[in-house]
Amino acid sequence: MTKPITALTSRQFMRYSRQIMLPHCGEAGQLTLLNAHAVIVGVGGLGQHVAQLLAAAGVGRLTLIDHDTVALDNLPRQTLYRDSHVGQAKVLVAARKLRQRYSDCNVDTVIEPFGAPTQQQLPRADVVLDCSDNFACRHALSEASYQQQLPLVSAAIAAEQAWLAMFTANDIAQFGCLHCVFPADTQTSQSCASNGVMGSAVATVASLQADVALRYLLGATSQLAGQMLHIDFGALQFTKLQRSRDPLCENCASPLRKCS
Amino acid sequence: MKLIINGQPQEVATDITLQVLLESQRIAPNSIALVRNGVITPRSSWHTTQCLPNDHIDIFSAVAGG
Ligand SMILES: [Zn+2]
Repeated sequence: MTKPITALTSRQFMRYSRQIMLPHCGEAGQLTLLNAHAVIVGVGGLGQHVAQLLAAAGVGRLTLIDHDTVALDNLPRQTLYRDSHVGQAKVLVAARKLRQRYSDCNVDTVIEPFGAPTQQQLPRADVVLDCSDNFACRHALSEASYQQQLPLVSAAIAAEQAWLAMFTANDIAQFGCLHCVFPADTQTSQSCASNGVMGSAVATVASLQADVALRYLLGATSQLAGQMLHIDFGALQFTKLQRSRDPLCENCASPLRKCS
Repeated sequence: MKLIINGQPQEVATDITLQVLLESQRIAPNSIALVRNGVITPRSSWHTTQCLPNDHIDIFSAVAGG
């Protein structure tokens, strides 16, 4: 446990001055970020961008969870990694890079997939970011974050389609969880088209995901309360969809189990 | 009756549910999210939710990539 930071150094004040100028941030907001802890599940396309943006913004602690290693075909969109990292654990490379660049950020790493028998519980954190690449992990995260009452910012992209949503306990009570949109038996379509993706589109979604998480940490009004943003990159169309709670949901319709 | 499906007007049989509509379009129900007039409709209610004339139905494929 690190001691809470109660005042900005003059260097921190200079470094983060463009954020501090924003009405929804200010000096108090910057202190909040420096004392905040975000968990990022998946440090592939979305996650490695999100991690850079949160660390650069001054989020004081990140936990990166991913079992995957860097592959050559990751490099066009996972710009934190380079050729010499191929074969290395993503979380270790990412943690090393982030620590070098952003001295205010402490990085913890877990080299296991979330949802594995030993990875059912999330660390106590201020926000959790779902940057994973499959529904099994997304559903495990939806369940764990609901049970542990941790806010979850979830995003996904394949080919030219993407979505982004934030699930908090209050929001779920009214508008449902991820399972309410995509129940546990949801399958991704297996077409060839859905397997490809452009790095520029991934970076866009990751930036939006980081923005939603930062605003949440700063206590700003949610841009997506009760909604899911759908993005069609083919038409460059952004659509906010209203979510609705499934009264038969296998996750949030069951009584909330309080974790001790 | 007329429905607007993914932005395109289409004639469909009257008194059909969302479930029947998907079957008629040959869409696998467990790989999509269904939005009726801007609201995501939970899958458990598709077989009981009636389509009404001029409903806007948008079908989004379930993507999970990251
Ligand atoms: Zn639910």
